[in-house]
Amino acid sequence: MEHAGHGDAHGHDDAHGHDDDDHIHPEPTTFLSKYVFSVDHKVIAKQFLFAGLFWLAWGGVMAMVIRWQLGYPGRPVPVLGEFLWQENGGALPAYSYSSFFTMHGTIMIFFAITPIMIGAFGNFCIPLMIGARDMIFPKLNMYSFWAFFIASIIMMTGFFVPGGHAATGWTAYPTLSTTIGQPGHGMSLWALGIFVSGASTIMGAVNYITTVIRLRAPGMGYFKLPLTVWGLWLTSILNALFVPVIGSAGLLLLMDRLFGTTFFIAGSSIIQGQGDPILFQHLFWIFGHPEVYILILPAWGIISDLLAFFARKPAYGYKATVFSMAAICVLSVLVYGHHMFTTGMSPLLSQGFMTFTMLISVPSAILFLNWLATIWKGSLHFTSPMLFSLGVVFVFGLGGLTGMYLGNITTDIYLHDTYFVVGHFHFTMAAAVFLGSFASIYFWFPKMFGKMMITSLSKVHFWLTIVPLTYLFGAMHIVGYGGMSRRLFDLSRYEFLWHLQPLQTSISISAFLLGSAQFIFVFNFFYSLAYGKKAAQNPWAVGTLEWQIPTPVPHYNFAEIPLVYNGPHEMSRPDMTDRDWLAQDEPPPSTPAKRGEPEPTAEPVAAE
Amino acid sequence: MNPEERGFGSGVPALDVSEHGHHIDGLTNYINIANVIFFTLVVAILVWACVAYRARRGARAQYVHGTSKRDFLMAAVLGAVVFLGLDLAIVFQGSRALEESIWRYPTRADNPLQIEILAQQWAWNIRYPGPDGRFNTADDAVTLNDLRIPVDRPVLFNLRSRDVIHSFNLPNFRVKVDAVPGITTRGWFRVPSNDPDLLGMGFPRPVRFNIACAQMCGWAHYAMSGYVTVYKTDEFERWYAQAVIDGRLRYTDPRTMEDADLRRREEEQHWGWDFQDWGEPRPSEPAAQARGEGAHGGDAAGENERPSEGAAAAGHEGGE
Amino acid sequence: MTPDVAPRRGRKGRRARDMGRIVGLVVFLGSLGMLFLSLLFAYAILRASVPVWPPAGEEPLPVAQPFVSTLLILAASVSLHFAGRAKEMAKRMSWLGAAAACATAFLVAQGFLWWTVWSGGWVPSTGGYHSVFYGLTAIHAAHVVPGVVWLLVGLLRTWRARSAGASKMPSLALVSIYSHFLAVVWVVMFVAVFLA
Repeated sequence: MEHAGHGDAHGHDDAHGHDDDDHIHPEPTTFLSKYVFSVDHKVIAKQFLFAGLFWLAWGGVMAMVIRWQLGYPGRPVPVLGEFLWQENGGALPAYSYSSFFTMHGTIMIFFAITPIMIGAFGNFCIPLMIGARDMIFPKLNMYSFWAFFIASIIMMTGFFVPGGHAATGWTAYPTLSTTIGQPGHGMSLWALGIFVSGASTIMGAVNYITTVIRLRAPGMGYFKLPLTVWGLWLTSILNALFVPVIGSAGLLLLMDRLFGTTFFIAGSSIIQGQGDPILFQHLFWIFGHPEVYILILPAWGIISDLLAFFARKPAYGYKATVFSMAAICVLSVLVYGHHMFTTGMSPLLSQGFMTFTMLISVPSAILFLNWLATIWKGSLHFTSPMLFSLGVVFVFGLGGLTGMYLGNITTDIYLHDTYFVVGHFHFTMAAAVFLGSFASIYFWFPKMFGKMMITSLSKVHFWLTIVPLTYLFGAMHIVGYGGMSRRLFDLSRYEFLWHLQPLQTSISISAFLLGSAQFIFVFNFFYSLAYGKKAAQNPWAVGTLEWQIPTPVPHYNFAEIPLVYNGPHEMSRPDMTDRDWLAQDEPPPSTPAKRGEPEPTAEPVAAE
Repeated sequence: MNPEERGFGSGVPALDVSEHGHHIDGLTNYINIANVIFFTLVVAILVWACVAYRARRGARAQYVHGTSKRDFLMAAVLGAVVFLGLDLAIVFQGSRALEESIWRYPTRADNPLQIEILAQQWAWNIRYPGPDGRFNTADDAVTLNDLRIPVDRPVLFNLRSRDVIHSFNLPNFRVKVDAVPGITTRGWFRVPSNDPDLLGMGFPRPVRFNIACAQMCGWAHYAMSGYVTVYKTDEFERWYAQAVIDGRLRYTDPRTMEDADLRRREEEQHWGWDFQDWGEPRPSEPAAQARGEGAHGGDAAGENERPSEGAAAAGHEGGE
Repeated sequence: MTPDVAPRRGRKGRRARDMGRIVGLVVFLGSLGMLFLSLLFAYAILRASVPVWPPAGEEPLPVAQPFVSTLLILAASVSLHFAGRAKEMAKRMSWLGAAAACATAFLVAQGFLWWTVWSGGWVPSTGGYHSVFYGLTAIHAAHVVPGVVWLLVGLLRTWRARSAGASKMPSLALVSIYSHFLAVVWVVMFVAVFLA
């Protein structure tokens, strides 16, 4: 059956000539064109996934070293210490510590979350969920991955240059990030790496946006898109608009470092220059605040779908969810100044930023309402994707609420740049996003690789992740509330923080637990890849388009371009008795009574 | 209470001995309460739904899209509660705190203790104007990482940085201001002598607190610490007088020095600048803004040659 | 909604394909526009932070030379416009040739401008004013270069297509949009950096 579908698509293509359409390409035959320089969105998705998981592991190990230093200051780092810091008795030196937290942040944001959430699931889900045969610009898609690959190499090189990698924090504020504070080449490579990875992201974003605009299957109106696609699409729009801003900041920083311009170098008693270090902060946060939504929006979209799927209910308030996400995108542009309350910004501006920041809580509250109402009166199946989705709701609740303290100038005075901030953004950007990633991996693994993952292991993975994770980032809030600045190598210089050391140690222990729990996932992932049970076409019994085609997905995805009749989560319809889901491309058994949404009239063209 | 146990004002949150700090802590508590209510609600619904609506044989999920008028009303009510109860309440309380105390800078009538702080990798240079009330003169008192202040008198400080961005952080005084190269920022605080936490720590004996840097400023960021010591007024005056005498003894006029290298080094010690007073704060715009006329140009053009001339070039009226 | 399925054939399919590319290019130009907007924003912030502009110790930049550049890039843009409207192949070829020549001349003029300013002793490290000048114009020129390459490739393709008897340069519409965009950016830059 798979092969029949496959051959069909192929024949089709031959008949009409693939030259006409960029996104229709013949099936590759050589190893290189099939697995390496592939233009197939499904293969590129896997490439991004593996690259992202590699960097996730790398960044995770760095986090463990950071936590070791904070939990057991000055003690030799187990295993790694002997190799890396022999001259320091195996203990982490302060310079390396700075470099580690800088690269931990950079890697996790630009090289782990971005490729996994946007690169892998964006590539995999968008064409399959909208009923397209590939991205609209498949070659650009390939370039996007290889640009990411080059960026990865540049970033990796930084670890091996004399003077070490960038050590300014991922925010790279000048003048610390100019040659005044960072004379080595590590920082220049960092800026270049960010620029190239930004180029990769923009290529992806242009592709995603255009694909959703142009290649939706007939009948697939914007409000019939799965929320996953909405999340990814909105993220792409933010990416296309705001990644260039960090690109410009990176370029100007590089010019300051390499060509002697003085954009960010201000005059002081020992430095000559007429630039403005605050300018970088403006550019950075104009990008930086949308960036946190860039990272979380796909997760929001995905869990909105998954909660509906496994509650066997239509997503509650579909349009409200979409509009809330869109409203947050708009607001995210207007609030960046809340990262700069302590820089002596004009009071009027500060208060404007504060007000807009607070406003974000309204659409966020509506998102929560919709998620909770979706599972209300559902029929909840606690599969592993569902568990992780519920986990996202829980940790994002924590992360969102702790944001109230930081969006407000008055309370931010005390909490700015403390561990409170670290805990807050790890709940939102790290915990919520990675739980969302795991949910996606567990959910789409069968479609991606044609194998099932081991359910029992994935549930153990969930519980061993969510418990230490909540403690770990929750306790960071307490440490920050106690007044500890972030990015401190060692708190022993500050007598008022001494009483927090035991808490820090306990945080580290729970971080190590969290880290070790991920081995369960690694094992599950690779074991299932090799020996997993063969996956059925639609193991979760859901109605979105990607589950209506064979597993593994044939090269052309859809033998016939589907004609879409329904929304993405038509579950538990009273007029259906044999099963509780309705595929998107399946005519509904009775005419839906809803008005305002015209029935698709177009004939399935590809069926000719 | 034993002062040893409460040394340096530890606590969660760190003890607060400033006059304005209760605004910050009070608002924090308000948000705490609101958050606990909201989060409990979310978790309660989540747990209840997970228990009550778990999949059971024969049970079918409710087929609703949440598009009815009742659903819309529910979302609107929730939005309104969040907007009024959280957003507006916090914005109003926050703005009131800012306008009533945090941004209400002391005027000359309040006789503030003026201090200049120059941040550098990795130390805080602190300068008192001395009896003449002018900075960068022979009678300045200069300390390193050692800020001493009296109770009951507003402390108004100007902040600059020599190299990278730092952030002057006094957790126990609820003060945090960035030191940015090229611009002058400022902040103020006051320690009431009847603060219960201060008394609990042994005041009127001198009480010590930590200065921290809150902004990543290089690999030794963690080591950029210092101390603030709070004194009774007369004890502070005694220390100040002595510090001024010490300062005079150490003072050398760089213009008299022959050796160029020594002269340059001595000049670097005169990092003080013309204290920026910002005038009387207007109620609507309390002017935390430091940039603008001269702050930049003055720096770049003047300070490299001669600090005092640089300050003069900035064209601001004198501190006192 | 109209079915928009693949694969498509003939003229209709080609039009859909071209439309897709144009949408893609417009999205990309939105992205590029943000890059230039943030550079201009950077310029505005730098300029607002000093009392006089150009700052003390920096000399105003020449105006005549960049004005010539402006004329050249506008001419390239206008030529492309006429190339798009030309019905005959020969006419289109000559308009395209003119556009490519003007765009190349623009790059040469920019190079000459940098050389003049640089050899006058005004290097990037002089200060904020010259940082802005070199930074913004260099980033703009870096985006003109691929445009010129694209134009030359297009020219070559059209020439080949003519000998093969075909009549349409595939990406003429795209390269025109891109060129118009860069011309507009340059005009804004010229007014902001050199005149204002």
